[in-house]
Amino acid sequence: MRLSQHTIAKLLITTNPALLNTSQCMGSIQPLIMLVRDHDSSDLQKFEALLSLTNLVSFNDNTKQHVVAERGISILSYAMFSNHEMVRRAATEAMSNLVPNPDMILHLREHEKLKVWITFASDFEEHFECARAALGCLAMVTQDPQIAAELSKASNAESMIKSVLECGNLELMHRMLIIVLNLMEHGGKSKELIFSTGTVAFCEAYTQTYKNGGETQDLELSQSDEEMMKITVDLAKEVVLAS
Amino acid sequence: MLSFDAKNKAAKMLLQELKVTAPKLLKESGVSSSSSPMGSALNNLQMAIKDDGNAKADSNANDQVHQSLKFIHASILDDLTNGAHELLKNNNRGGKILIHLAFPSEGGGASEVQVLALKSLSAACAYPAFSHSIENVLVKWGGNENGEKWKKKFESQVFDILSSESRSEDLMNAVMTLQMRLTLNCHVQQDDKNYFDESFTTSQHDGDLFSSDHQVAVVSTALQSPREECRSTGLNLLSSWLEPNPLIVINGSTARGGENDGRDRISHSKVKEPSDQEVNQLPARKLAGYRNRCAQRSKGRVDRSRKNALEFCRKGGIDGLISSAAGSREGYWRRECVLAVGRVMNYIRDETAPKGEDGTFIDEHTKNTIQAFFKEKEHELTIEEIKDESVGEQPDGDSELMTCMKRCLFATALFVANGEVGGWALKEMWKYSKSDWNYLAVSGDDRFMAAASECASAAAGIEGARAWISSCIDTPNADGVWRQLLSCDDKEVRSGAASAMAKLGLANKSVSSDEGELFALLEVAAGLLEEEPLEGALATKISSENSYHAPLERGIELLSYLSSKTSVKDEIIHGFAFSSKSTPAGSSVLKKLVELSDPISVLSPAMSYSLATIFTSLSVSIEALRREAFEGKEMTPEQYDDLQAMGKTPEERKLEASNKEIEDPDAVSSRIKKMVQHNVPRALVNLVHGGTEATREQVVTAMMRIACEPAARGAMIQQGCLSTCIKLVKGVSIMRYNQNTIIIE
Repeated sequence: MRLSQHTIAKLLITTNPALLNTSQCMGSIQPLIMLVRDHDSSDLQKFEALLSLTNLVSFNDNTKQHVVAERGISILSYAMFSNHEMVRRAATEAMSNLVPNPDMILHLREHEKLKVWITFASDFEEHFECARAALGCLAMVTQDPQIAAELSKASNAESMIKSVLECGNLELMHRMLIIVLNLMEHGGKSKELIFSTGTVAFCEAYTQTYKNGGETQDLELSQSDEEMMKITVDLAKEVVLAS
Repeated sequence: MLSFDAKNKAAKMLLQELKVTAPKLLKESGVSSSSSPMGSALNNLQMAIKDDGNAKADSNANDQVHQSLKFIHASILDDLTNGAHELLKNNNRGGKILIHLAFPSEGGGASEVQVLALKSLSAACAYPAFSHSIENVLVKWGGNENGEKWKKKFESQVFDILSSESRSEDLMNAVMTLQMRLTLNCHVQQDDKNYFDESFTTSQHDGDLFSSDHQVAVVSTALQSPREECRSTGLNLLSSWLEPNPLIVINGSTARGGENDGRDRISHSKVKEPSDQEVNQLPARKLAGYRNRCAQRSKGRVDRSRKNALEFCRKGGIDGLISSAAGSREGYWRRECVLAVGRVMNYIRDETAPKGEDGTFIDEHTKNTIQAFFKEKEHELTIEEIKDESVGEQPDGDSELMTCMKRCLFATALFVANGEVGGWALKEMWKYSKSDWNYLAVSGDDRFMAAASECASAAAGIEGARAWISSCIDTPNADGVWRQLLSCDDKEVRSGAASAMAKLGLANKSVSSDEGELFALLEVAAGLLEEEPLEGALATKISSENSYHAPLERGIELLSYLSSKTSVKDEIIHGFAFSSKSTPAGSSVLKKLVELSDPISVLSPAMSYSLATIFTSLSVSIEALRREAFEGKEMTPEQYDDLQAMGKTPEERKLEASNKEIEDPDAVSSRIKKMVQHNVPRALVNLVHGGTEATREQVVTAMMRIACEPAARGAMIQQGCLSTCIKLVKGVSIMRYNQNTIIIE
């Protein structure tokens, strides 16, 4: 049976879910979840199953709901603590793609669960891809006022915001600036957290330095990075304006 | 009147009077009260036959008998339970009429009427109550109550029919089928009696219904018949007589027949077998009793089967079977006979025999039977030689070949039956085995060569005989012998030799690295995949049963052995096709393999498994297989190689490195792409349907290996691999559309 599950996983890693019919799309979710949950399956099998799940849940709300109905949230959360780095990364990405499913939002409203995600996001030096996926997820879920409030209460949130903004990676900064903007919009304690971390001052300095593309020529950025730079500068401006 | 007024006393009294008097009146007039169509047909028969059981000379009466019998036969075939009940009515009136028509006292009789009556009887005997009742009718028909005279009368009638050359084939088959049904029913009753111990006394006969002399005589006569159908029925009769569990034969024939008249619901035995769950729930005392009864019954079955098999051997049955096989030019028939001999030898064997002086666990009866056969054949040969020498001529080559062939066929049967017995017989009894085998192999006659290659194939599958067949290869002219066998025009010869080569290769756990030899074998395997139209009446039977695919099966077996070699894989993928002087190159081997997986072609489980293995081998590199083998081990393949290299000299290492097959990953990828182009994923999906657990595992492995190639994934999903895997995981019943039939598995 495990071989069949692994075959399903292999087949769906690169296949566009839109090309599958409903029964194939929905029918593959349970075997994949079972493979992730299986204690005897290898890391490669788990990894490929998680990649396929990531692919499937990105398709539409029905697939997300089906994964949740198969107790996917708890199984994927467990996989996020795997010994293998790539399994952890794939599980985090799969979880991120479950947003905005209501059950996933409820899951992240729990303080302890959110703290785990903040920890994952802070660990960008060791596990960049995992941190990127966690930040992406936080950027999406901080639109929810309750999650934003929980985030501002978290003890490790302040250090996370500071370290990510200063990391110099544009992809991570982009996600973090979205989180900052969301927190600013909610106001109250969330806004206070942003001020306490000195993010507004950082954004002002950032905007001043790189506005209108100035000073970027010395950085020798690629074309995609230059575009990303513009986006981050615009976001930083918005943060300054919102303050 | 009663339906209008239920209290009408006069009507009630009239009804009561009718109930009492009507059966008496009908019984006196000898006419059934039945108003059913079957009852009317029986009435017609009763009126048309004379008191002595023969039909009246009147042509109208004859027509009436004929039509009525046809109707009765069709009714029984249509609905066995109802048909048998109709015959059983009025103290088995129908059975009695049919017996009179089947065995007319004047002899001769109208053959067609006799055939129809016998067919109706044998069809109705599939119903246990009728079969039991017909035994009682036969006792009375014999004119003696002690149950002996009727047996003789019945046996002589049956033997007359079989030994007369003027009788039709249908009549012979019908009478043997009736005997088969009665024998099976008798065995079921004996088993029930053994199960229920002395409290069960419904059977009137403690022993077998027919004497062993009669059974052997009937089987031997049938085997000597020039009619193929008759010989086949004789073999079936032998199987039913010797099979320990008669229910296996009964259920097998019901399943093969595919009738939808509720035969599968008929309970032949009075024993109600409890389910596993019920057995587990039995209290200790009852469980012990149940186990005891089961052991008693199976001991009875084994003893009966052994006794019958020994009788069969003593009366020259084995010799008859081997002679029939040796005399036939049909590979199918030879194989059937060899298998039958193998089964007989298995029935004779006492598995509880202690270890003998020669270190084997073979019982005395088996030893004596084998000894008697080989001694007799040696004796025959000596007599012929002396006789020939006395007249100053050279020994008759054909008769000598025939004797060698008989020994070879018997040895094949022993190999098939039991490896230990086969090995022992080869070592101790078949003195001139090597020369006999070589004599047959180089004879140039397809029949003898086929026997030699069959023997080689069977011997290669047994550990104790592998050394012998290897020594046959090692002789100076062996290369020529094998080449001769592998290049023979006859498919049977080629397939046997190819199968032997494959088995020997697999036993050595290595595939020959000689490219020339590999391609010669590939050529043979490709040739065996080409189906040839069968000829003759037997062909109709074989094709209808779809049971005989020996050459094809062996072709696939050989391919599964060869496909582990990279050069062969590449050849197959790049469109290797069989071509000979007589036949131009047809479709490629890969295409043929895909076609074979189609649900229309009926495959045996072994063939499905071999096909799946071939596809699995084609879709993987040797390196990947090595990696898979080392998965979960404490050592990597590279570390293992280093460790092995430490014990070798630099020259050995160099030689090993030059012999090592290195496969380019791109080559595997292009192979997979070609496979997808040839619809191999669809073939794999087809193999899952109706496949065994082992086949399914191989299929899924092949699918997984093909899915490693990203470009193949889309086509795989299109061809149904994803849906099949989902179904396999969920354990959903897979429906197989086979022509117009839907089989739910």
